[in-house]
Amino acid sequence: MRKTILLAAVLMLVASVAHGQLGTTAPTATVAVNVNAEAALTIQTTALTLSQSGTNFTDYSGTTNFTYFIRTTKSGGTGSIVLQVTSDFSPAGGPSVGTPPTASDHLYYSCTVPNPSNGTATPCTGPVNSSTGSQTNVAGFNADSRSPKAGVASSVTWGLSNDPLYQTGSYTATITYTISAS
Amino acid sequence: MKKKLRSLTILVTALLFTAPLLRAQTSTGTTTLSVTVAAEAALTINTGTTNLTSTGTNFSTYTGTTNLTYFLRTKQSTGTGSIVLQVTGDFSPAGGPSVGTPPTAGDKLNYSCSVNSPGNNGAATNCANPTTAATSGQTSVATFGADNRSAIGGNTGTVTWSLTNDPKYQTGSYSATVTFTISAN
Repeated sequence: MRKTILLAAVLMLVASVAHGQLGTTAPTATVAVNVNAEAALTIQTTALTLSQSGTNFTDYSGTTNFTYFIRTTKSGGTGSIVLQVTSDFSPAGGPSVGTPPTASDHLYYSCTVPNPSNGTATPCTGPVNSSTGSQTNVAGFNADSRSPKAGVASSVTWGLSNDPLYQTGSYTATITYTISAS
Repeated sequence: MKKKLRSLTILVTALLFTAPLLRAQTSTGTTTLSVTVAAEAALTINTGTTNLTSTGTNFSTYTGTTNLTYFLRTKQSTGTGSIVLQVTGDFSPAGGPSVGTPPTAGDKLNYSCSVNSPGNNGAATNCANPTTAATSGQTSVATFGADNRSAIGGNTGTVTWSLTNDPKYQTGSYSATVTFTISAN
């Protein structure tokens, strides 16, 4: 009888200790995330019509509005926004970026790119002549540049030579903007 | 337990390999630029003041030349263009020549035109020679047809003036204002 009681007491003690080893009252878990450099761009003015006032061959002009979102690496990071005329004006007979009818004809632009919440934006200093052959600068960003969640409203203001040589008509070109961050 | 540890090791290793690939991010967007190229015209008068002169003392007509540069683009199929002029301020002061009320009926301010054709396309049709200027209406300098396009630096032209030298004019200096108008459609 004494042996039985002793065995029961030992078993109860062991059972209690064993239960304690299965969990705790305040368990913890680790959640990890890698926040990388990222960038995105939203163009508000998806179809811009350049216009001019008067009849004295002043240049055509207009503004493309866009919003950028950026995060560059904290140390050593950089970012940029560039653009390229990926489809030249068409149909033929009017303005052209790749093969302008007069050498001095240009599609040029200036940039308004405010700073992100943290870091610095360096907008292009216009006029910058756009190109079909390569990307041209809109803005650069330094390390640890971080925009607000809603992005930063920015714009590119265009100018297009008004060459009398252009035949009357409507002409359209496509511009591709690229934002990158590292 | 060993199996879980192994899986975790593989996951961590995979993350370590993929993390550098995620660092550089690029995003693009496109927009179109459109422009409607319309008929336009502009004019620059290079000779702001043309002094008419007469050689000799035999009442030969006063002559002089006004140089101009024009810029023009007319519509492709149905367009036209023109350069006209009008005496918008008659000779003054009184006592000398007058376009509106000449002292003698035969007194005239005549001109001829030499407007070069547009540099890129089309042809200029010059005014009749001579054409008599008027204060009451515009008179032709040149006309243009469809799809006429000047050079980007413009194309030149001249108006050569001829003013009757009427002995009736009092001696003195007289000035008139001539307004040139270019149009295109």
